Amino acid sequence: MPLSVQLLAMSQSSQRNISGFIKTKGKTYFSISDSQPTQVIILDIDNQEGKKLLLEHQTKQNITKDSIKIIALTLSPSKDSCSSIIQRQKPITSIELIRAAEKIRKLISNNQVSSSKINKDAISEVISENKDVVQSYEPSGTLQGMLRKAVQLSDKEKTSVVLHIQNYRIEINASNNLAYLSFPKNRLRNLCYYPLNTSTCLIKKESLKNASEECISLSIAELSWNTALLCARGRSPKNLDNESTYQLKRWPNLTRWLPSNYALSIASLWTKAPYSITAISQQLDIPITDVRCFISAALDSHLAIICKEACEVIPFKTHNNSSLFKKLLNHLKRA
Amino acid sequence: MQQYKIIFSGSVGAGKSTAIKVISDIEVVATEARASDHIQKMKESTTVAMDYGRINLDAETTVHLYGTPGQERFSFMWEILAQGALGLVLLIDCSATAIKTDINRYLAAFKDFIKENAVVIGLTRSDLSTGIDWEMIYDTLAENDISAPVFEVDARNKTDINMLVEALVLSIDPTIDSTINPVVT
Repeated sequence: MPLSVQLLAMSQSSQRNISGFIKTKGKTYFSISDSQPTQVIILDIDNQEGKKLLLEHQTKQNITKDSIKIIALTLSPSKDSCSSIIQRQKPITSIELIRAAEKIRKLISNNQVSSSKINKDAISEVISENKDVVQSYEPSGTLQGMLRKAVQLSDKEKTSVVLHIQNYRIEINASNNLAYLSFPKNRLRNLCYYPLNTSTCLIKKESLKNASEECISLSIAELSWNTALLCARGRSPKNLDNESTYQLKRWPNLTRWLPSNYALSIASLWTKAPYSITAISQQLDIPITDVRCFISAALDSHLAIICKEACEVIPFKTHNNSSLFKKLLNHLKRA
Repeated sequence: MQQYKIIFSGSVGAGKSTAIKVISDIEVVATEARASDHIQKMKESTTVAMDYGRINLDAETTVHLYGTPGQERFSFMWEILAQGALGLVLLIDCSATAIKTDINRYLAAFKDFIKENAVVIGLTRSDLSTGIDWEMIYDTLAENDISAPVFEVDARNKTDINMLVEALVLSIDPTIDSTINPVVT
């Protein structure tokens, strides 16, 4: 039986690579689970969120003798201090993941033999509590929410506004649809890790034009899209109705913007007809979190709209050439 | 033996021959001739009949890649080459002055083909333009009643062209699982 696994606190690309491995070569060792408490959690502990989750796990392990095993990915692994945590150096290879799975299987079977007394109810409670916290987030408490406010303000007041977060500044100019960053684009990821509120992120009506440093310009749509995905980090944004109907008006510029999981498939289906989040997830047979992340980013970048009137949802029929298309996609992915 | 076809078309100098070259599994067969008209200012030679490349999927399945000549005087080739194709990759040089006219011209030329098949649009040479007017591009598509993927691409970049073709395939059938990624890093 494959070990049920959750991937947490890691970048989009790591998540995509590892889940790609699990769904193909690694399917006899792991299976990704979204809804059930899992046997294994793979997390990146080189970021704040990963460190926090690891600490929570260690605390719970001491109290409840939690049976969840952690595969912690880090650039500088230390010797495994606790039997439930296996540290592995980044970048991790498929062989190392398979070895970790075999080690966990051994640990689990040893535990079953010794039949340690575990309070299953308490564990389920802890796990589900942990899952709720980890798998969803409130966009208004992140850069995503602050950016929404700034865009609305700039649009309403017909003026430039600047977001101040520590030494970082972002100018939003809704009249020309451009944003200006006072820092390199790759630093945006760091800003998306911070929880923000009105005291840690100030929004002022001003411009960076007079500032001495050089600014990087990009479209507000690109900034909003990237920020939404970086803030989500595979978690599900709150306050989205799974049953409302949405339609994608434009494709995200995926060769230049951050790719999200299944973005091409989701965009393709959502431009064909209006669908609900649940319908897209079911039609494509993909995790609902990925659909929620996509539509959250698409709404923020004004690529999608919410259909107010009930729309007729037409089930999509698969194409006759689907085996050819699968081969071609495999070829392109490997290239 | 299963054989399929994808067409690359678009404006002169947009990078059709280059795009085919970067994804073809074989040496591209080109019909280049020395440019003799205003094209001469843009490049030394131009495609006059077609470019031909191939993707070998397995021993029995092949996808043929055909590039049409960009110049309108060779437009009789467009329809011939498009017959029986799975879809159209349309490359538009967005450093040109008349982008809207270019898009309209190709959408009109392939109107019947697009009705029955898929199209994706790649905007090339954006580094030489002052910025892409996405509003205008999507308005032009809407005027033609077309909802197609539009991406900014570099025709020399294999990842960009692969994504265009992926989008083409997934716009025909979005339900195909596209997550295969055997390499874990």
